Amino acid sequence: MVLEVKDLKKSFEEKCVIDGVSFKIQKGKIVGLLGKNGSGKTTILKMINDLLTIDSGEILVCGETIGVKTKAMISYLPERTYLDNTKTISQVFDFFQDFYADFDRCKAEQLLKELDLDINARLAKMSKGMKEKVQIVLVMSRNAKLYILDEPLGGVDPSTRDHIMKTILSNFSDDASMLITTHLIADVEKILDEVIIIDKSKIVLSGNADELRKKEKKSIDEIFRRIVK
Amino acid sequence: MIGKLMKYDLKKMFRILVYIYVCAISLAGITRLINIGKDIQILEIIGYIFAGCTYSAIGSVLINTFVQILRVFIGDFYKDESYLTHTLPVEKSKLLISKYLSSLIVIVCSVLVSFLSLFVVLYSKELFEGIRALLEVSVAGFNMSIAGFLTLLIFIVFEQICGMISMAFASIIIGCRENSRRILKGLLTFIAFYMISMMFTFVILAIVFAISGNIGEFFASSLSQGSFITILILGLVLYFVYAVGFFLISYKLFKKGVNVD
Repeated sequence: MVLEVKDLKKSFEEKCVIDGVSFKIQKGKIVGLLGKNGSGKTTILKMINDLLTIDSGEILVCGETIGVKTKAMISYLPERTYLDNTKTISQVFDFFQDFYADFDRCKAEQLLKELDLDINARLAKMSKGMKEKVQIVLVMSRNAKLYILDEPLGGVDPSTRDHIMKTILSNFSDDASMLITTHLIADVEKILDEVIIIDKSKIVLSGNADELRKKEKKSIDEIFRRIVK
Repeated sequence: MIGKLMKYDLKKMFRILVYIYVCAISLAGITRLINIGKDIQILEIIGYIFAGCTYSAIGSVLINTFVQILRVFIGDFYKDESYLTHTLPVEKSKLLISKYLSSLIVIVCSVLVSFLSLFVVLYSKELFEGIRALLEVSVAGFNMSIAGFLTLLIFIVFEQICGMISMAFASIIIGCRENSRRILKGLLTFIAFYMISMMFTFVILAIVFAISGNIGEFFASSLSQGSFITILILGLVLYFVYAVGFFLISYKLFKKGVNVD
């Protein structure tokens, strides 16, 4: 099991935002964590990545509790831009090379070319979409065991979405797993092996994507719209 | 790993400071050159203006040093860039130690640049001899050499800086554990820590003076040789305790985890 989340709970000033969430991700699977804005998707991802403390419950990545070892195994794309704007892409690559043993610089440079980005370009002079592309390149150039992508398609135009989806899929190895959150379900549902639908701090539906489609005779997007109103 | 972290921390902290350093030293040099011809009235006036600019630049160096240290600390640990910092496969203790050591290096550099700028503007044989005479008078009654006295004083100031950095970092970490008004709560925590540590120092000093039977000197305007040495040693011990104590508080709280925005 690559990721195990057991009875996870989190509150902010007595407001419960995650209430007893449990799920597992097996090796080689792409799992969609779906939910409305504010349903708690990002909070779960932040707890997995040690950006939020856990009130109760447990998170295990390849059997390890959250710490240095799990961070070396997870490649995380947050929903916001975390890069230092004063740096060039090349300098950001240097930084990743310094800290992540699994960062493949050649792959990163290749991906950058495919996305038509200049390695010497300064981040301060880039648009939001370009920065998101750079972050996708950084995340997918690591040979991680678990990729966690938080709204990778949010805030970008349809053409860039296609580029991003292509980059994600073509660089995802069968040995790895992926947890992806989005509210643009139609754009990602074709790549999902499993789905977890979260609403009002709780999981309301989870299962194999193909089986759910077959059982309900609807797309995941339609199932989601029916459940989450 | 700490070396790699420090490389990036120092780059961030020095990025703006380097320009202010160059500005302060350049202004000091220009002031010095103008002062060569200060017998001419117009040059004397320009010299005063440039001297004022140099002192402002020195002030700017010191203020910006603390601004940059806090900016990098808060930015890396609690703002957007924290998404990268906290997901690096590095122990939290190393992240904190790197910030601490980088801050010390930056402060030492800023103090050196400030002294260098002052030296360039003010140095004269008469001034140097005046300071030396003043120091000789100051240490005359205390059975110490000027070098020994200065070394002790620099060491105490250095410890005090370490203590202030630890206190500031602990305050920010405590403030940022809250869900709202984090910076304000951090600032209030810092003020509270500072007041408590000052009161603690005052009480310890009073107790030590009382035990040694010199409580009268504690309230007097002049000190005997023994009392002066006692204060220096106490300063060394207490600032060491504050530096280590507040660092441990920072470390313990930071290790428990953060809640980034």
